[in-house]
Amino acid sequence: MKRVALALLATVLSISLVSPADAAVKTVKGGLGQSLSATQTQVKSGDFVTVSGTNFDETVGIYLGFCVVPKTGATPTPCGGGVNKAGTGEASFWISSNPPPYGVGLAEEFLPGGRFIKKLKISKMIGRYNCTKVRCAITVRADHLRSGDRSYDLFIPITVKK
Amino acid sequence: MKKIIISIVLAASLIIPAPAQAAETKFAGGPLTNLDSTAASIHIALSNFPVKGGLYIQECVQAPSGIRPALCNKAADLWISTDKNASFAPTADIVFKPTGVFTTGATTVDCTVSKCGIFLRFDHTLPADLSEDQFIPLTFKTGAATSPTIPADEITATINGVALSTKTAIKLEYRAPAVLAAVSKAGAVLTYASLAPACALSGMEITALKGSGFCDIAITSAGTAMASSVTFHFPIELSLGTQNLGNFQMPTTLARGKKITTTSVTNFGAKITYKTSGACSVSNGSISVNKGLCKVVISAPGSPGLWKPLKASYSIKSK
Repeated sequence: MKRVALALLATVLSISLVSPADAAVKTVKGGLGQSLSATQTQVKSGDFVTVSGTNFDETVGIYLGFCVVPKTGATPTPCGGGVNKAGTGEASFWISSNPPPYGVGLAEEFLPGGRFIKKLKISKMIGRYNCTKVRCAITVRADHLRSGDRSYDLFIPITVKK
Repeated sequence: MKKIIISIVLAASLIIPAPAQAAETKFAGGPLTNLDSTAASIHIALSNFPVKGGLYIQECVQAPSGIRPALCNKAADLWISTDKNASFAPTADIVFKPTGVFTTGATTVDCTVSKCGIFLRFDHTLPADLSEDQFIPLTFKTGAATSPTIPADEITATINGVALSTKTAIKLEYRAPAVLAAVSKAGAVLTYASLAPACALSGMEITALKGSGFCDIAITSAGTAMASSVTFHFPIELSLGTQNLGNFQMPTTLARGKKITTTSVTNFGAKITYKTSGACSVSNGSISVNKGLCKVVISAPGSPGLWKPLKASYSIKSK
């Protein structure tokens, strides 16, 4: 009986150790085998979300950012931090293993296997858009060298708490 | 001053081939000038390849603006597509072989007289879509009239000390360290470019971003008073990468009862599985050794098109 009680206690403890954030991990997969994950999907403005990617094509540069969800097939824009050709900022990242000469030192390389892990800052406002009122998402798109190519677009919708 | 500006603009308009329309595909490659009439070989790397269809690469006589060329060399046609029957994949080192003279129908075209060039267009899946049409001019040697009066420079190059050849591809593994070095025989300034997206060139370091296919490293000599400018193309064949334990080194001896913390992933990030036999055990990422000989077998999965599976065994003696 004592053993059963201990086992039950252990089970309860292990359940309570799973944080709400862990439970909210969201992963989306792309048509080219790549996947994008975010540790949370319900956040407060100013919070950071850890975003990771794997199996991305290392020959194609990407932007990772927090954007207003566009109409189907349209270019994701606007995005927090804009199109980050400067390679700086917490709201967007330029990830490319083979950038043009002007991008060397600005873009960050993929890890082997087309992986990356970044902490992305979520803001309620993207320009004049309020993400508590319009749909916003952690977004990956091909960089400006393939700006018209929508096959690399991935979205993880984020709810910005009021 | 005005005349100088106009001259510069005119010169620029002659040098930069203007695409017929705003084509999405970016063309890079060469050589494009002074080509051998019968043995020309142009290495082409395409980027920003369109997603809605493949492309044809043709040798044609330039047509008036807005009209597709009608005089083309069928023998030189290439089909670039992800289709398995295509001549080349979009990311490949595309080798295009135009000729200085060709016949189309009843017409014989001499490219030293006619304005020939590379014509890119959508393939048969989008026959009426002209949005990818673009024309890149080519010039061919005309014999004595354009023969160089000074010999072309010669370039020798190595990767990790291994000599490169313009004819035979050197092999390079995915993500293997590779340092390029090159020398101009004439002592000219050299410039470097990777013409295929599967190879990144940063300074003199080459990084293979795929485990299959080809890259093309183009090295151009600026030439000197004694040697003319020249571009050498060195092909590289990519192969699957080799995984290792990264910074972790498996010990050969370990004090009895002592634990060693292992690494959980390979240098490429693949998860490692440990199996032990003999006088040791593995638990929670640590190996502990008792008296005697311990055998550790590690394995990690491969990644298609990038790296090979890892399987290795080690022996650890307890002290």
